[in-house]
Amino acid sequence: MSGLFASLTSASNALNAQRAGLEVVGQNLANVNTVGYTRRVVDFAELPPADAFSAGRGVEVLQIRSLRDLYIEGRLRREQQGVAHDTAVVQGLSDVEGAIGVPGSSVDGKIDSFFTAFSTLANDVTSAPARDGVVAQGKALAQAFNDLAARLVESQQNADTAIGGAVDQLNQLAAKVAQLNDQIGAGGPGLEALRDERDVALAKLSDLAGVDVIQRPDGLVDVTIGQGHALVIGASSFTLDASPAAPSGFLRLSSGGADITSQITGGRIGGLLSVRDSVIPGYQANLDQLAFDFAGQVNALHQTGFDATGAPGGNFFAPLAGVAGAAASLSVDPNVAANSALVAASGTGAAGDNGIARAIASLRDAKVMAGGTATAAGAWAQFAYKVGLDVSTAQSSMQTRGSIVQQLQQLRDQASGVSMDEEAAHLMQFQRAYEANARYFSTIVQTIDTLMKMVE
Amino acid sequence: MTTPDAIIRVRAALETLAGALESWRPDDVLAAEAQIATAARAFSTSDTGTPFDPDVLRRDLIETRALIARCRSLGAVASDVEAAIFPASYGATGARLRRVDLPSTVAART
Repeated sequence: MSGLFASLTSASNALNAQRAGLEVVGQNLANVNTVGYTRRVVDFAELPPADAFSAGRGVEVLQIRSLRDLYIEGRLRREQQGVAHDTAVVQGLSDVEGAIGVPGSSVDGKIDSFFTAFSTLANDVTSAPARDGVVAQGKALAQAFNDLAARLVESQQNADTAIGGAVDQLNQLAAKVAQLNDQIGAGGPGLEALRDERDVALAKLSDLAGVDVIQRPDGLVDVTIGQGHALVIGASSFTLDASPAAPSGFLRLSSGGADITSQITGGRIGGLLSVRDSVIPGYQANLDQLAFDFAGQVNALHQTGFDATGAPGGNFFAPLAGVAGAAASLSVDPNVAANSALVAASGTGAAGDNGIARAIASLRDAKVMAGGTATAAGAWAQFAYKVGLDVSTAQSSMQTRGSIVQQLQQLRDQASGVSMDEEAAHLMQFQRAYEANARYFSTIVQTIDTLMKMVE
Repeated sequence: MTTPDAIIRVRAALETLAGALESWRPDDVLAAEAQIATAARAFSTSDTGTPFDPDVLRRDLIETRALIARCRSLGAVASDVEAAIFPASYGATGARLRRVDLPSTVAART
């Protein structure tokens, strides 16, 4: 290439290329704090000379690309699912832990007061107020079991409501990923910004549920949930349905008509499902067993005694249909509740005998719960300890996963993030390199001026 | 070296430098220095006694001036951008210097 026109053409190419470079630097710096932004770099290519007597036709921009590390992004998504799962579990369990209360002021306190009331009755077996006290403490204990059972159901309902909200978000995000896939597939100048936006949406999706992201050769992504149920295929999204199901009335999650509730184990929804369907039912079973065993032991003794009128004793607690639902339905027998004279304190039927009152009071220290391995207070302590341990385990897991996410984010930022220092160093390098060349410009200009005088 | 030959070398060196500046790659810009240094030396000591066509030489000199102006414009952009974006710069030892007055805009040089 030679001649002024050719030089100007080359300069035009050059200025366009340099403008692209500057725009990329500016874009990187402007987005230094943008979540999900991946650093852009420009790939240049030399335009070859048109003939053997010119240096070249300048430069062209091949592409502007983002620095992404798919492995780190994938790992990050998996760990974020775990963090979101653990966070949901911790929140759900904290709710339960709050319901259990502090030692001595919950069901355990009522159990203790119940036995104390029978001890008081044993000391003054003909006392009507002592009989009333036994009935009152029986009612208070039953109420404590009822309240805790209700709080556990409430915690399940809270988790269920949260699942409904999370599923709505998930469907919106799936639709967004599909829409972005469509735009990315169409190509265009804003491709990298669309990919960033899609990455942010995928990260949010991963937070919500254990999704798998499949990179396609055409640059689009497919997203599946559970055991490979499609959530996004290219530009199409498929709704995850959440509808109440009998008998609990809790939401059942289905994809294409198939129930996939039990398949969703990751992310916030997985954590909430675990709390609703596994953790809390486990606690409910423990609590029901405790209430059932307690009522059974008291009733068994009570039925062998005699009330204040000398008549054979009946049930102290209303008979329970079974273990399931025992805590929620525990109550003092209606007849006893209405007439404390029906409390069977006597073991012989004699007016002053306190055999049964003493025997029931002695249950406090008898290992008759949990298959004969624990006292009533001990069985409660085991239950409360299990909840505390579960909370502590979930918190520990959440912290560990949080640290891994932080580490991966740092790693990703090194690969894809914007470093102000790096951009500054790049500019400085460029300037210094230019200045090294510019030192010779004055020599060339002086020579041109001298020669110009010769031809003017 | 004759003056026309020296001008060709200078222009080739300047074209290379412009290309490197366009590429936004500091390493390429630095690599252009040796060629510029050699060409500038040869140009300033060229044999002006050799017969030449004054019109052709005038045209070549004008184009060379234009090339230098282009290189200067391309090189100056980085410092303008840096001044506009960063609140501080680096000294000769690599230590950061505080910049007192920041330009609010990048001067147009093209």
